[in-house]
Amino acid sequence: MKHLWIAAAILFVLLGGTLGNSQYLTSIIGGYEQQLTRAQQLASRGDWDESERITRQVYADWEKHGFYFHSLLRHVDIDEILLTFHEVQEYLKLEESDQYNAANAKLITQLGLLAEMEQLTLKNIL
Amino acid sequence: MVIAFIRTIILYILIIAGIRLMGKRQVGELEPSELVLSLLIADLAAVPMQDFGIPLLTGVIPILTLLSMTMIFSVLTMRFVRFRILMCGKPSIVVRNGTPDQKEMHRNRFTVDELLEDLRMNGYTDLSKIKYAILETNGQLSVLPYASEKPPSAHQLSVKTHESGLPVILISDGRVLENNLKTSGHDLAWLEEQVNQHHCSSPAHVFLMTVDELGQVKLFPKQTAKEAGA
Repeated sequence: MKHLWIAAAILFVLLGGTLGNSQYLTSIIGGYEQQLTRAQQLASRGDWDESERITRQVYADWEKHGFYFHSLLRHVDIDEILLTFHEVQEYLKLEESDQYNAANAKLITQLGLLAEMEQLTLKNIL
Repeated sequence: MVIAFIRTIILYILIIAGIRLMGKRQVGELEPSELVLSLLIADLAAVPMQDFGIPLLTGVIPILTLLSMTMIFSVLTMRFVRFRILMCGKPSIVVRNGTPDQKEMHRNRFTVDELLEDLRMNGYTDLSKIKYAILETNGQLSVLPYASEKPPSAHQLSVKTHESGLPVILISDGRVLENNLKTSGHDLAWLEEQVNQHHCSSPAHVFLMTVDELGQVKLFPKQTAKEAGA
């Protein structure tokens, strides 16, 4: 019976760990989405400096979690988001409203998809 | 990651069910859960090994899940008879009193050719000499002939035999295995004496030397390059 409990404990830890990871990722990404949406609102009002500051802050936080993202998520998705981050920051510097809005929307969608991919839903399992 | 975990459990159970439905002949010498584990684990390990864009954990989590599931299934198989029958099936008697049980053979998708092949591998060509042939859960056929067809044992013939026991290797390719020498209750002096008695100058010239529980020594000297060539 000892083996049964050890195996059950491993499964329980794996389930707990993966569910915890899913929750953690959703909370981090949710925060990014909120901040990036706020940055876009500020830019539409003409406050480019504050918008750039918020975007840079989100990017710094993304970089800080680089090891976590790379060890748990597909690298190709992480690289695509990194490219879009750079794109958004460049449009912010140029204060190009249309391009910035499009790139920022793309970034928010990419981040949303990243979190959605880890959600325990029937759609994802199937 | 949680998706990988859940998908692994679903696929593992599905493949085991598939293997069980395929019948005993497909299983070989492994139990269904062991076969599925060996089929899946190599593939799971290969993916993150070759694709550097996939995190290592993508392979590690399903492998740990599979190992744990297999462990749970093997414990449950040992403890619960019904679970064992569900997982491994039951042995099927395919020949009874010299007559093939066609219904049972059909149920196991076991052909006449396969039956005859397995009987030949067991040394029987005539079905009428077989009391029972049982298709085991691991796909092997156990053949039990009629008592009159069984070879007589030394006991039945009242022949006196000596148990020589398990031979212990003392010298392997010129190297003395000192642990085995000690276990067999001999020492180096005895060993060298035996080697000299068999016309070898030293243990280094012995290819294989064994001693059984009755103290009988078997020694094979090393062949020279010339002898080996011939």
